[in-house]
Amino acid sequence: MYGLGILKGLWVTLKHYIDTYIGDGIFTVQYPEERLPLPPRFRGNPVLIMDTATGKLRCVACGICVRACPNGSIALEVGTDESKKKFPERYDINGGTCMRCGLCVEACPFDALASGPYYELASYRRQELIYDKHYLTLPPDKIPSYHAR
Amino acid sequence: MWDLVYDLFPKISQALNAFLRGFLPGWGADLAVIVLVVTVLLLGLAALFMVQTWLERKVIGRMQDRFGPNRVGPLGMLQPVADGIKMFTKEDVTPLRADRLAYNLGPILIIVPAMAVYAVIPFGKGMVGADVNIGVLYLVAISSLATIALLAAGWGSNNKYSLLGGLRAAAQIVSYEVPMVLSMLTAVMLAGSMSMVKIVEAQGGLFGLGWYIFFVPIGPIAFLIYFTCGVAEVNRAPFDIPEAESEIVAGFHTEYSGMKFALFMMGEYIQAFAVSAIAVTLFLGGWQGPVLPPYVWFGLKTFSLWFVLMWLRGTLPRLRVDQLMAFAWKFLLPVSLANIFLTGIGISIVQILTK
Amino acid sequence: MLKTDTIVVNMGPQHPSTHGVFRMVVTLDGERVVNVDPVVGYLHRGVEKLAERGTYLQFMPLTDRNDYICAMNNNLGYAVAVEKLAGIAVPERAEYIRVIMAELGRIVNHLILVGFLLNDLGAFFTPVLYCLREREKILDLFEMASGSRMTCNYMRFGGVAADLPEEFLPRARKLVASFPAFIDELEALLSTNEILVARTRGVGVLPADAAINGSITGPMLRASGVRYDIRRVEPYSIYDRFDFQVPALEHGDSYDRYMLRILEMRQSVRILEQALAQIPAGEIQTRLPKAFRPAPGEAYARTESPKGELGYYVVSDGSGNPYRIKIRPPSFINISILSQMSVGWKVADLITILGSIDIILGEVDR
Repeated sequence: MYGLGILKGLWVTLKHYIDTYIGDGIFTVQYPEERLPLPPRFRGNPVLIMDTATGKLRCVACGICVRACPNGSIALEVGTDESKKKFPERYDINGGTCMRCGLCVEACPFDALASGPYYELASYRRQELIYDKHYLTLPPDKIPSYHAR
Repeated sequence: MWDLVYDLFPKISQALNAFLRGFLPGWGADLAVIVLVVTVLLLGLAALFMVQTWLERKVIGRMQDRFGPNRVGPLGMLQPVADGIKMFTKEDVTPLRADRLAYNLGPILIIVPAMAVYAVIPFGKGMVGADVNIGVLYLVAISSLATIALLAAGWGSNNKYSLLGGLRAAAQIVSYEVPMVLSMLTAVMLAGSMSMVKIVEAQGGLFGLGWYIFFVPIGPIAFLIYFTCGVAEVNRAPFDIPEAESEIVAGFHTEYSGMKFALFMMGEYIQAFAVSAIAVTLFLGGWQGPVLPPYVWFGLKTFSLWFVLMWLRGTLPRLRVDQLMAFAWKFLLPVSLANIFLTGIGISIVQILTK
Repeated sequence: MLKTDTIVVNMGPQHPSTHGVFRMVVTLDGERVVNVDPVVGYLHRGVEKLAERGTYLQFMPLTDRNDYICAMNNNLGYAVAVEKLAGIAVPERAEYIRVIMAELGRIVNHLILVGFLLNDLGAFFTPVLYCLREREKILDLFEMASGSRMTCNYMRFGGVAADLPEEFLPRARKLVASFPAFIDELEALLSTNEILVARTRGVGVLPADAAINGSITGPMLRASGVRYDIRRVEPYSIYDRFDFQVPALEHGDSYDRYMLRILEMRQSVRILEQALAQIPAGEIQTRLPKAFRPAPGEAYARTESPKGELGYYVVSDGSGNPYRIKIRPPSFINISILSQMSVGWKVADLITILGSIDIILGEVDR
């Protein structure tokens, strides 16, 4: 019928219009004030996990994550402490080239890396996108990610 | 007290006139009142544009399950002001090798007829800028001037999208003018006058409900044809092909920025409101209606039609340019001609019966 | 002396409806399209070369970025190809998870297509936003399972990256159950709309023989009446277990291409219902050697991506890096028929035809 299809469409939009006032039609989340909960697996920037018992990083600077990274975003310098144990002297992740694929986290055999729950990572300078060891360190209880296991 | 509310605006103007006559000669007081009324009307139209944009964004937002603007001011009401500030501070670019005269004339030419239309629209009882006895003719003549503005803008911009948009606009407006005028004739024939005030007064029967849209079948048909053509005349969805975003970017105002762009938008929105107002005047009884004051009735009806315009925009896709032409010439024109014929027969029958 | 002339308009790479950075050099005679010259390559990143640089697994996140609307289907295509190359078996549960993800990805893709096609036709963002709202719900599921909404990087050779989280299946079942109602509403909004029908019926007809000659695949081919779906013709994964139809329409015009996407969404819902009901418990990943080095050889695996036949051709020289990867992107092949389809139509139709072809520039340019 001529005109019926148009009326049907108009009815749908009118229903939605009324629904936003009396029903639960609104789907928008008022972002800065209102935030959706992050799923536990959220794949943000990788973070280093600190052992709460010893207060040291779990990372033993084996370099597997460096090799696993598709973009070469991880820079690692190995240092040795008093007891001849290796630790990351420098551990930088270039947030500008990192694509948050999570392959480094999967590759890590010591569960020393996890996907962090951060997503507002914009900055005015490129240098600020290079995250160093201190920035990346998180105690394990703060990490909601399943990758930490 | 109710009398005062009922005839609020004419009473204010009379009181003002009487007050001014205390120290001015008669013609001076009249002139002052006229200047004042015109100023208020023009400022009111600028404010109306703001309300319209805000309403449209709110309503379409709601139709799309969003809130619409809600950051600037309560309910986002200051959004148009923020937009205005943005428009004023933007760089005003004139494209290289543009036809400067046509390019700069475009925005002015579109705003003048859009505002001039309001001179003859009766907003309420005794609230009309000028009760011209050829009001309808004036409306038709003035509102088609917008074509020149769109063509000037499209040609002057030295942009292919603009040119396409300008040509589409010219073709569209010229074609839709014909059925529009013919559908307006129905109201003119029924009222027996071309004066807008007379047409409204003629619809005052049945306690203010003798609107022409209730004159089945000619009234509704004429109203629908007028409204369709009006929507096409002001380039709004589903007839927004001269500025079809997905096809020709923004049509004739692709190259405009800042305040010139704002003038185009303003012209368009005010014209769209004028289309609603004229439809109300000709077919929906203007300010006629029971109980409520005339200006309230007029506002209610006009804003309802404006809501329909927003609603259409929020729902419908747009026609193609040749389908648009075919719709005007092959469907609307014959129907409106037949409608005039029917109207004539109806009027003759009534005349014979009442003789 | 008066004469008329054609004008050349550059549509894109910056244009509201070229879906990315696609450029068409359009020759117009008034409103009529005389010639269309598609220009691609503005988004070329050298993905195939990048694949040779890294290991097999390191290419997986890059497949997300080919067709970024439905990353899951690209993951699946690449995983299937490498599994064929190295002869890896996939556990039962992982296969089911893959099918669920791929069909959800198909729905996401078709939602985006339908929404933006209607937007190109001039419906002021309403259908798009309704579609994007449903898409958000599916992306929530993707995020829950893989950690990312669009660049999922979820499939692995011989399985998937992680098992489904606990709340995934109930939420997915709820979403799938409510989905047919949404499709009905979307159809009520515009499917029978006279303006939409007038704009798309008979516009940009692609006859079946022309489609086959142009090696067009996917919904475009099926809209032209050829019932050809790789899930049926050459079943991969476990698609042979599900009961679903391959819809095909006969006219091959823009309306059929629009309608076919809606029919396919309904079929995807059917597959999802079955998969979600039958999914078994168990392993999700075959154990692979630490250093993944497939024996020298080559393999070509094709999957039915939402846009058509997505092929990955992988050559191994026995090292840890692929020797060569060639992608057969459905969008790129499908777009090659654009100029043939759109000559003689109006500018507005050109946009409709382009919108109904369904291209993603990430995939066209690679």
